[in-house]
Amino acid sequence: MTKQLQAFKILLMVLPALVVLPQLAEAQQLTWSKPAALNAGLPSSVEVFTTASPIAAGVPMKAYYTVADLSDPKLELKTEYGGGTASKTTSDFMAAQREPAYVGINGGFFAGNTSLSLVVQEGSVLAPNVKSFNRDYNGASTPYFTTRGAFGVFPNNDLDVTWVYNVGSANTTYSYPAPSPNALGSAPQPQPTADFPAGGQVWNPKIAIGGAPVLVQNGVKNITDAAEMIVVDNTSRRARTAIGYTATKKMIMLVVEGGNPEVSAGVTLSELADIMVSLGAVEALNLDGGGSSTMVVKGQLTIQPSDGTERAMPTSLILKQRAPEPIIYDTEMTSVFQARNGWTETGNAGYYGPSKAKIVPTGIGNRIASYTFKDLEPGRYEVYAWWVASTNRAKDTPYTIYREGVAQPVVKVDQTINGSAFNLVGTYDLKPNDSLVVTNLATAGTATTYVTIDAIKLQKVGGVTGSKKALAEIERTVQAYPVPTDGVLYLSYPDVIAKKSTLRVISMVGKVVLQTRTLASNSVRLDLSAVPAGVYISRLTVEGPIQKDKSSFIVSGRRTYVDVFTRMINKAQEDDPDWSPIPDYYFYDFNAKATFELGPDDRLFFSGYYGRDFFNFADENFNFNFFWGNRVASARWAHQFNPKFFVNTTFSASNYEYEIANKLDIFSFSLTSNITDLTLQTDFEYVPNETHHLRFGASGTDHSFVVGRLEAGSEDGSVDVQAGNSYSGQEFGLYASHDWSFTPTFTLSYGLRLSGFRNEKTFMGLEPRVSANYRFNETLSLKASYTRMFQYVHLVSNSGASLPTDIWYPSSPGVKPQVSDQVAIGLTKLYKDKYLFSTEAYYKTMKRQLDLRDGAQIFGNPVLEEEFVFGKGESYGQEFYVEKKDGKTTGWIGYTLSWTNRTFPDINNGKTFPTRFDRRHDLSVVVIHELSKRLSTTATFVYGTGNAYSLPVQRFIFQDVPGEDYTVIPVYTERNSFRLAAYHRLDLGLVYKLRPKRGASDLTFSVYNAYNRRNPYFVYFETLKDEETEQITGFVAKQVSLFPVIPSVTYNFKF
Amino acid sequence: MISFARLPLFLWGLLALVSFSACDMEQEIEVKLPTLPSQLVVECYLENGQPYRLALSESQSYFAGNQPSPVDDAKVTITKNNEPPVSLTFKLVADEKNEKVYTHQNTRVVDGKPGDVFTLLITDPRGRRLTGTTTVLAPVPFDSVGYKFNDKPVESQEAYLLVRWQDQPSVKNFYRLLAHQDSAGVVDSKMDAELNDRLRDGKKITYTTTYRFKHDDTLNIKLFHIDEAYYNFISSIEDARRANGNPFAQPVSIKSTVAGGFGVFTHLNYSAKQLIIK
Repeated sequence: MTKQLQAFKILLMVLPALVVLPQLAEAQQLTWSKPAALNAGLPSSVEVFTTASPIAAGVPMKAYYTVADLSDPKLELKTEYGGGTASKTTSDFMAAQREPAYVGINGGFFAGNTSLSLVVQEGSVLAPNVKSFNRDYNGASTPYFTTRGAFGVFPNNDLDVTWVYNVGSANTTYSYPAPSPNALGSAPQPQPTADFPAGGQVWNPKIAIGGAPVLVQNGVKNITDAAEMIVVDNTSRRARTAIGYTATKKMIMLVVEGGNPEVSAGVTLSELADIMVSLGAVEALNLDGGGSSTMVVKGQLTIQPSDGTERAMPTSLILKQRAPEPIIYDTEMTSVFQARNGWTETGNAGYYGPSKAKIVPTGIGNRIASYTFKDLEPGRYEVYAWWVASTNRAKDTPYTIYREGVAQPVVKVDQTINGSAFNLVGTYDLKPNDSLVVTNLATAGTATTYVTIDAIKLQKVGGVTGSKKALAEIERTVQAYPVPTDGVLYLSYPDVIAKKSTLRVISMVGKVVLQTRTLASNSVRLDLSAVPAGVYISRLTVEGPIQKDKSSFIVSGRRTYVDVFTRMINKAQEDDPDWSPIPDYYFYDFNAKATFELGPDDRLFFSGYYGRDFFNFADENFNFNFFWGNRVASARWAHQFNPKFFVNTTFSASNYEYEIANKLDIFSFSLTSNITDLTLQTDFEYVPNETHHLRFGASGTDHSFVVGRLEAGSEDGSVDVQAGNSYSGQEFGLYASHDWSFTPTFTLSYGLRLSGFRNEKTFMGLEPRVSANYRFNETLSLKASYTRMFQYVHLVSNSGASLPTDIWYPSSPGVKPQVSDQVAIGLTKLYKDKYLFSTEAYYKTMKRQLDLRDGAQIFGNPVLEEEFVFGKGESYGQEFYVEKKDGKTTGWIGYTLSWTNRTFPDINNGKTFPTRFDRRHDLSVVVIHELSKRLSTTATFVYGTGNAYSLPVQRFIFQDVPGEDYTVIPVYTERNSFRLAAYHRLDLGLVYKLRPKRGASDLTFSVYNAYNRRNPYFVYFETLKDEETEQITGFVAKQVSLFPVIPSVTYNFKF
Repeated sequence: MISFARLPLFLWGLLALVSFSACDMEQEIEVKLPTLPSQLVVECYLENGQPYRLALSESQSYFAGNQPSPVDDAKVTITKNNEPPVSLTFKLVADEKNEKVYTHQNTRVVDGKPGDVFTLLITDPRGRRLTGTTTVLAPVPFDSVGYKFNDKPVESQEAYLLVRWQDQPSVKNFYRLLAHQDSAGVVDSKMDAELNDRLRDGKKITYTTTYRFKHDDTLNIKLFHIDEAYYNFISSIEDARRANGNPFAQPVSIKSTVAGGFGVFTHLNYSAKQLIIK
C-alpha cells in the first residue's frame, strides 16, 4: 500500500537497505547496514554505515562509520579550527561551509577553546599536539614530552597515521617510526627533536588532525596509550571517535555512542581498535571521545552525544564538496583589466602576484578602472578584492558590479585597513562580460587621498543552470528530518533548487530568524532552539520555474509554536495549586506541488501533503495525548483530445490516522486507527455545444483500515492487552451525467451513478440525481434538486467525545451501506450587480446509520460489530447567504438554521435524540475592507450553537457485596440532552502588501479569537474529596477550552 | 512604513502578555440539571445463614449535598415462595468488618434451596413501588484452588492464584469470583471477577490472577453462582464506574435487576475456601 506513497518522497518514509560487509572479524560479528536516509544526497565516494550489534554478549552498542574515497576530485576533507578563541559544534562548523557539507566528526583533545591536538589546514600547522605536560614522578610534578598520534592526508592523497612531535617554535612536524618510550613512573624521555626519537622525518600533510593513542598499525591492533601517556578511561566503555584508513586508501571515520546503557554503553580503546581492524583499517587513531564524540551527516546527528546535546569544540573534521577553483584576475592581465587616464602604479609592498597595485587620487568619478569577466561560466560568484592598505587611502572606495550592463548597488570599501588579503565585496549572479568597476568618486582626507585597485577573486558558489537536467532532478528527494522535530528541523532540497539559486528560506517572527541563504548547500538546518519563545508560525516556501514557462513546483512547511509559550506559562504557574495547565497543542505540515506541461494537450500535476497535529491535556483525573494526521499524494494527468473533449485521470493515495495515549488512574491505553485509500479515477468531459455538457467516468478505490488497535496496560500488571482489527474493501463507481440547457432560461441536469463495494459480500447501489434551474430574469433564479447517495464506509463517532476518535468501518454482511436521500430548493437574487442573495432549504433522510450501543467497548474489541446499533437519521434546515461583491468593503454573511436528529431503537429508549453536531444556529460574517492599495483589513466572526452532549443527571451510592469503597454511580437520562455553551469567535487580520524587487509578498498580522472567548471543548464532572479522609464532599462541573487569543505575524512571498 | 511594520510586533507582545496571564483554560461552570424525582435504590443480597437485610436509599441530583439519603418510611417485605412475607424494618446497622451499612432488617435467617424463589416488594408513602425476584441457584463446587510463585527472590516473591471449577453444560451460567483477606479486623478485597460460560460451556473454567499475592497471605475465596440479571447489573456498574468523570466515555445506563428503581435483589449461593499462601 505504502509503495505508491513512497514514490512521493516528501512522505519521508525511508527504509534502510541492509548491507553486510564481508571483511568482519570473527570476534565481533557486527552487522552493518547502510541507512538510506543518511546516504541520500551523498556523493558515491562517501558512504555511511551503522550497526546496533552488541559489542559483547548483553552489551548493546550503536555505532556509525563513514568510509570516504578522498581521491574523488569533488570531495574535500577539511579541518576546522576556532583559532584558539572560539568553539563550535560540529553541526555549526558544517553549517558554516560554503559548499555542501556531507559528514563531520569531532577532532582531537582540547582545553577551553585551545586545541591540545595537532591541526593542519592547507599544509599549515594551526595547533600542535600538546608539547609537554606534568605527571607525578617520584613524588614531584615532572614535565613529560610525549609523541602523540596524528592522522594526515598528503597532497597525493596518501594517508598516514603516525606518532608526531612539533619541534621548535616553528612547530615543524616530525613523524617517528615508534613513539618516544615515555612511561608513567619512569624518568621522562628527552624532548623530541629531529634526531630523537630515532628515525624522525619531517611530516608535511596538507590536512592533519592529532589525537591519542594510535590504535592500529600495519593492520594489527597496536595501542600505544602507555608511551603517549594518554588517560581517557582507556579500559572502560564510553563514547569514542576513531579515524583511520584501509589498504585501498579509503578513509574511515568511526563513532560509537556511549553513556547510554540501554542503547550503547560505548567501547574500550581495545574494542575500538578491534572494530577499526574489522572494518579493514591498516592504521587508526583515537580522537577525543566521551561527550565530544559526534558524527553529523548532512546536518543530522547520528549517535546521541553523551552530554545530551552536541558539544562545542575548537576542532572538527569535515567531509565536504570541494570548492571550485577560484578565478583570480590581476592588474597585469590587460585582456580583462583596464585603468584609463590617471591610474599609476604604487610601489607599496603587499600587492598580489607579480604586478603592483594601481592608484589614483580621489575625485569626481572620472577615473575608472575595471575588470571584465570574459568567458566567465555563468553562475553565482562571491567577488573578493585585494588592495594594499595605507593611511592615505579612501575609506569609501566605490566598487560596482555591472550585470548585463546594469549597475548593482555600490559597495564602499575602507582601503585604510584589511589590506593584502582578499576581502568579500559581495555575491552576485554573473554572466560573461559582466564587470567590476572602481572609480575615484571617494571622499578626500586632509592630505591627498587615493583609491587603489589590485587583484580580484571570483569564487563560484552555485552550480550551473541547466533546465534539461533540472527536469530530471525534480525526481530527487525533498526531505525534512527529523520528523517530528524537537528543536532542529532540516530540509534538504534537490540540487536543482540550489543550482537555480532561487530558493530563499525565510522564517518569520516578525523578523528573519534564519538568514536568507544562498543555496550552495542542498540542505538547510532550522535551529528552533535558538528562536525566542513566542507565538508564531514559521513558513518556508520555495517556488520557481523549472522549465521556463512550462513547469513549476512549490514546497512549503510550517509548524506552530504556541506550545513553546504555553509550556513556559504552565511551568511558571507550577506552584499555583489552582492553576490548571493549558493543553499542549501544535501542528506541522508540509506541502509539495509540481506541474509539468508535457505538450499543448497534456499536463501533469503532482501534489503531496503531510501534516500532524498533537494535543495533550493532563489533569489529576486523567491524562491524554492525541496525535492525528493526514498524508496525501496524488498525480493527475489532464489530456485534451480536442477543445470539446478532455479527460482527467488521477491516482491518489491518502492516509489518515490517529492515536490516543490515554491514562486514567493506573490504567493506560493507546488506541490507534487509520484508513489508507488508493484511488484511481478517470473523468471525461464532452462539451459539443452550448446546450449540452456531458460527463462520464469511472473510479476505483481500495480502502484498508485498522480499527481500534489497542495496547492497554496497568501499573499493577493486571491489564495487559493488545488487540485490533484490520479490514479492507474495494469501492467502485461508474457514472454519466448530462447538463442540458434546453431553453436559455431552463437548465436540467441529471445523472446516474452505479456504485459498489466489496468486503466479503458485494453491495451495489444506484444513485440517481437530478436538478433543475430556472432563470426568471437576469438577476433571479430558482433551483431544485434531488440526490440519492450510498455510503459504504461508515464513520462511527463516539457520541461522548468531540475528538477525532472516530472509527471507520466498512460495510460488511452485518453492516449494510448507508443510504441518504436529499431534496433541496433554492433561490438566488442579484441586486444592483453588487449584492448576491441566496437561500436554500433542504431535507435529508439517512437510513442504516451506525452508532455505538450504551457502554460500547471499542478498545481492542475483536467483534466490533456487536457494539453497533442501527437506526435512522434526518436533517433539515435552511441556509441564507448575502454577499457584497464590489467596492472597497466586501464580504458575506452566511446563516444556517438546521436540525439533525437520530432515532435508534436501542438508544435513548427509542426516542429521537439530536446528534452531537446538531447546530440550531450557525452564523459566519466576513468583512474585508481595503484601506489603501497596499493595506487591507479582515474581520471574521463565527457563531454556532454549542454541541449536544450527555451528562448524568442523578447519582446514587453503590456499596456492592465486598463493601469497602463505595462507588458513585451516575444516572444518565436522555442522550445528548445537554448543550455546551455557544461557540463564537472573532478573528482579525491586517494584510500589508510589500513591494519586493521581484515577485509579490505580503506581511500579515492576525489575531485569532480576538476577544479571548473561552469556547468550550468539553465538560466533565469533578469529584471533590476531603484531602484527609478521602470522603467525597461534593461535585462540580468543569469546562475545558482549547485556544485562547493567538496573535501571529506571517510573511508570505512568491517569486 | 517601517514604523507600521513594527506595530504588529508591539501589539503581539502586549496581547500575548495580557491573554496568557489572564486566561485559564479550565474553569468551573454552572450546569443546570433538570429536577427529576428521586428513585429508590436498593441493594439486597440474600445469603443463607444471614438475617434478612438490605440497604435502601434514593438517587439524588448530581450536585446535591453529599448527605446519605436513606429512606425510613418505606414498607419492605421479602417473600419466599408462597410463605408469609417477612417484613424488614428500618434500622441503621453498620457492618464494620465489611464496611457496609444496612437500613432494613429482620432477625430471621435466610434459608434458600436451589429453585426457591424470593420476591422483594418495597412501597413508600410517595407512591413509589420497587419489586424484584430472584431464584436460588445451586452453588458450584471448586474443582481446584492453587497458587504459584514467580522466580523472584523469596523476599519479593509474588504468587498468582488459580481457581478452577466445572461448568454445567447446556445452561447459560454466570459467575462472580471474589477473594478477600482479613486485615486488622476489616475485610480487604483482593480480587473481583465476573465470568460467563459463553465460550466454555460444559467445560472446566479456569481463572488465574496476575502475580499479586505474597507469602502468608490468607485468602477467603468465594465462587458465586449468579444469574444473568445480576451479571448484567454488575457489568453495567463497572462500565458506569469507569465512565464517571471521564468526558470521553459513552453514557452508560444501569441495568438494574429490580423494577421501579435502581439496584439489585439477588440470592447469593457460593462455595468458599480459605487458602494460605505459603
